[in-house]
Amino acid sequence: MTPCWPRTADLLLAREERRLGPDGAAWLERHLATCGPCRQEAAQGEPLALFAPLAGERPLPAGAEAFILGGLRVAQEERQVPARRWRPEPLAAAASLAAAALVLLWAAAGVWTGPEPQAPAALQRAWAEAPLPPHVMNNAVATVEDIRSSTAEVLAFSFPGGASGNTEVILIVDRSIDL
Amino acid sequence: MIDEARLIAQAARGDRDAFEQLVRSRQQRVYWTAYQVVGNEDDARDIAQQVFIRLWRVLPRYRGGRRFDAWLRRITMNLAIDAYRRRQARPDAAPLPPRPSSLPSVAGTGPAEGLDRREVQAIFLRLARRLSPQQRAVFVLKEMNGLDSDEIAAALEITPSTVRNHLHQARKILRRGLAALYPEYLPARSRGGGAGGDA
Repeated sequence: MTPCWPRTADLLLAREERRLGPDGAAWLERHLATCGPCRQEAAQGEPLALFAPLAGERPLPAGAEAFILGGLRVAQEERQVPARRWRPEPLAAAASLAAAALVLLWAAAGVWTGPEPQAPAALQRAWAEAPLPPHVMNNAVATVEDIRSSTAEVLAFSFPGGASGNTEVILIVDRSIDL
Repeated sequence: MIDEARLIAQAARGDRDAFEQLVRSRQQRVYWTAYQVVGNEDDARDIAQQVFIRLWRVLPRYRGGRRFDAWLRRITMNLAIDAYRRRQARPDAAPLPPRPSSLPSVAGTGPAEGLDRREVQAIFLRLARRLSPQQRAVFVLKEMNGLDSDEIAAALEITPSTVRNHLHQARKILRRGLAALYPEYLPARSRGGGAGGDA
């Protein structure tokens, strides 16, 4: 391919697309008359009339339209209704702000400072009566201690009473899931 | 008849009837363009369906200033070229194309005189397997859809000079294939050049 080919090819295509001016056309004619390699390339790249019958639109094959529209209808059913863009409602926004301000004032004034949350009385009593230290228990303790880790701890309690004489409570505290 | 810009706007707002009218007006072009690129009816049908599904999904983002058909063409070509690449990657899944049963039989003229459209189609599908996806896409848009090089460049998102190169190469390759396999359909002055081998 010669260095002049790119320009020749541009002009050939422009001529084919009917957008070549007279100067370009004259240059192209002169050049093709004298440049053998470009003339040969141009001949190789001429449009192929054989395929002209394939141009244009034709009816769809049987069943194609039903296939296209069928798939489309399924997709349309799945299409989400676009979410409405959120816009603050003036009245609702004012009410929200007022409520937030009231809560802040209430908290600042100590209205929410009530007594510490208390466990139910029965549990407090059981806790107080539990034998200490809590980690000393029956065989179950050795089992649960095996799973003690840097983030987990086992607390074992035994309370008097129950069908077997003692009620045993084992708490496994896992700090790794501490919220 | 309803104004097309209005039809597109209605479809973009989710009007299914309007969209279906758009589909019916474009489906032949989309289908046959895809068919010439991928070379078989099943893939062309799938691509046409995907094109319109994608169009339905993205149409709400369509801005009226852009040319709708250029937009649709780009979607079609992207899907068709991807499908053709996948086919090429699996040569065992791409046997020699059969004669399409659905093409109407229309006698040709010129070099194709004596051939009906089905035969011309079969020759093209056989020879076009020698083209790269881009060369084939350019050739189809130019010779079968009648687009100019700027429109092709926009559809394929390549430069006009790349279009020119692909078109030139595609014609050369097809001409060589014709010379090797179907020399009787070449114009007399083109015969005798180049070797080919089977497609």
